[in-house]
Amino acid sequence: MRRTFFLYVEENSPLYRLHPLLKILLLLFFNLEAWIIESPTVLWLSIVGVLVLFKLAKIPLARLLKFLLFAAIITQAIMFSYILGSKIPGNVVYYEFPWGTYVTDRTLLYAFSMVGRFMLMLVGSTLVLAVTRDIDIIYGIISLKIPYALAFTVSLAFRFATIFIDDYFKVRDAMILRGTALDKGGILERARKYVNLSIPLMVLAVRRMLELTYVLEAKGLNLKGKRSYFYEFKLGSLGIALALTLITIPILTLFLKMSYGLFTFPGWPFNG
Amino acid sequence: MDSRCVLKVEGLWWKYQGSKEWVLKDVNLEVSEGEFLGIVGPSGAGKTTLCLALTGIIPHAVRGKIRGRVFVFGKDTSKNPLHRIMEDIGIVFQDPDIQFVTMRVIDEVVFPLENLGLPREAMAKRAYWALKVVGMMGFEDKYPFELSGGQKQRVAIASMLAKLPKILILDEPTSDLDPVGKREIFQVLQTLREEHDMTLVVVEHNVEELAKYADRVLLLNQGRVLAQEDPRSLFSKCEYLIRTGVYPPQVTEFFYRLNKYRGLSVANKLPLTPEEAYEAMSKLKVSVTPPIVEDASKNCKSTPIISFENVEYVYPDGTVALRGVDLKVFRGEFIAIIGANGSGKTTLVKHMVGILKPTKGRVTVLGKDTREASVSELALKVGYVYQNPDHQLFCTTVYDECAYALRNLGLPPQEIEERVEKVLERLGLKEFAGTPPYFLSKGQRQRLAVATVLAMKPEVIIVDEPTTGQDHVQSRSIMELLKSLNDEGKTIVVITHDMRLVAEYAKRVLVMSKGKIIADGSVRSVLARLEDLDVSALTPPQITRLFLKINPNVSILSVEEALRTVRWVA
Repeated sequence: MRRTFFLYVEENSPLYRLHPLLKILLLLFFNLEAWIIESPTVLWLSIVGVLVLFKLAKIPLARLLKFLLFAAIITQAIMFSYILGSKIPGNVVYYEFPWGTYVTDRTLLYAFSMVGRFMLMLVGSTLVLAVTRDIDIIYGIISLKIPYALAFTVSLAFRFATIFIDDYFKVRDAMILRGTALDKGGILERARKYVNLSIPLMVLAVRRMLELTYVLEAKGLNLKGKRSYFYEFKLGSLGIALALTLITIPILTLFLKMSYGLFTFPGWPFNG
Repeated sequence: MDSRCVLKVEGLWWKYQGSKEWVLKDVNLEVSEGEFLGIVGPSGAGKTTLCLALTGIIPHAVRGKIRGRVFVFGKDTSKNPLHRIMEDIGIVFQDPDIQFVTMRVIDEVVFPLENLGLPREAMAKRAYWALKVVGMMGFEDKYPFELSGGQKQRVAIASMLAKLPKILILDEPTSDLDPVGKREIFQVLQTLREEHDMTLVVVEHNVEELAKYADRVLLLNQGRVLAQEDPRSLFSKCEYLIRTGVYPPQVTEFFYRLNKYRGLSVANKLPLTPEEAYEAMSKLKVSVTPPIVEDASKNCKSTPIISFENVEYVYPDGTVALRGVDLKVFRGEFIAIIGANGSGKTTLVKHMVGILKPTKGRVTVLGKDTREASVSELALKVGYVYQNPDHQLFCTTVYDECAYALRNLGLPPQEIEERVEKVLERLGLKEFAGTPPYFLSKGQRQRLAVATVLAMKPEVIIVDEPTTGQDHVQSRSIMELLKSLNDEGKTIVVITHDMRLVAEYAKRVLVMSKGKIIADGSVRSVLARLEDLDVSALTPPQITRLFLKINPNVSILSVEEALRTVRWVA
């Protein structure tokens, strides 16, 4: 099993073979749809749809378990913020807080809707990133005809992120070995410890950057002049159709929401 | 200029911006087409700077002051654009990770070709040719983290080869590599010479390999060229080389000293390899007396201070790094752990300090199960010095660096002061107490890293590859320090690839392969087990190989010991 920075697992399915540009568009698609749609029914149905795509793409659903803790924390934060700090009118008032906010049936439904938005972003992004190699992002950027300097910078950032992470763990272990309890103490004390931790990381980064400059000179890096590309990026007619679909649907969703109130939360606006 | 001269340096002087000292001083050099030029010299001699100047990176991409001229195929590097110079020349640096700037092997090899703007077909043809030359066909889609150090370095060479340079410069290409990686690189260089008639300039601390392959060796010290001669002639000047900080091949030194101190004329020309030395020895009327072997275990008490019982360790990604390891470390031992990259050496020692806890089995340190002890608790008993000192230096002064752990332990200020001063004096760093650690040289930073651990007064000191990227003088300085600590009763565990230093300093050797300890015993006995070493692609030092060939029962560890062993038969 081959894994990359984005937990990519190589499998033989159409989703894996998508053009890198389409993968970027798909990522944007899920996030835009989650941002536009408010209706809890549509949101949760979309999530079920994405889970079906997981199955089709042969991605183990267990992949999502990696984000379980993160999802639980965010869900709790959303629920508590609505329960404790909102004034959404509803049919049933469950509780009124002394500070003036209250919990209604709609409060809970709206919080449920917000959790649905977050979950769609999470599940959709996980789906795309599970079929995306870090290099796909670079190829996607290049095929968007964005200046090579940007694509190369992103590529270099991905490449050196792993080296940086490796350094981070080494320095962290070295500090622990000298009696540092990184997770103990007040905020200021912890901050001081992390400043200490960042010093060697910065020194290592600077030293590496100097050598990297020589390496790039030796490899004849040319950011401004003409260069050629080893890979050909052809979308094909099916790819173009899919790209257009992925661009059109969010626009259409937004249009229907703004013009006809579709995909909005039932009864929105609450004071209307 | 001679028509076969492809590289010419005329009276080159260079100093970096902000530096008072000239790093290169009046360097004159000519390299002929197809020649293999080796460059040796101690750390700080100016070897890397010379390489950068030969490629035109100096003065184009580095600020500083230059005098003199460098010509590549007759083109003055300072008067031609860098990309024009780079068309004829390729350079491979020391760090295999930094050189991998893209995310896959094939991308890395085509990257310079994309920069040249070549058509796709030409790129594919050249890239696959280069991968074939360095023996990396079939690795096209691999990611850097899927490759060993030697493989990454071969990709770096392929990346330069694909440009079809006429000259290839390699700046210490094997110093970060394990024995397998070193062997791989020199095999590639041999192929480039034999099949492609490439001009090679190689900076290398490993003189034994250079002696085998180079046509000519240049000795650089403090920015000056002290000599440029054929390897046999240069390496025969043993005392001169050692004074300069370069150690000649062991067998050459052995014959040199046999000649000089025993007054024997044993060879017309000094041998460079064990094979040549064996031939020379077979013509002599000498007998070899096995050395009196000291029992390595006699100082060890019966209770181990570190114990591994059937330990297995599996990383979260499923990699099994240790398999059924049983090991006992006794007080006062000096243990060397050797083996190829990925054999489990670092994973093993990380269990000794509790950074890693066994997936299966049990590790005890001074009787305490590491799973029941915190890392900081274990750190008081077992100190760990990282391979790269920069990973463990984070304070603003050398003094604070040594005091850091002691303050964390809550020791009284007076005791901290006493301990720090003592340890700084012990390691020759007292005068730098107020200096920021990053202003020290690499050798000094390495000593400081040891000092920070030593200040905690641990019973065991683990040092992870202390000699990587260091010249022999610095390496010996670190090993001498560890030896003196061992003489004072500390238990030393060192991971190293330098077999010569293993032979000269360690008392016990563990050979690791694929997560298992495949050989464990006295240094003398392990170095004689050629088959076990071969499994881990390790090779005993030259002098050991020579005497094992003469008598398989005689395992010699150093040149000094070899000289004591040889008896002249009248």
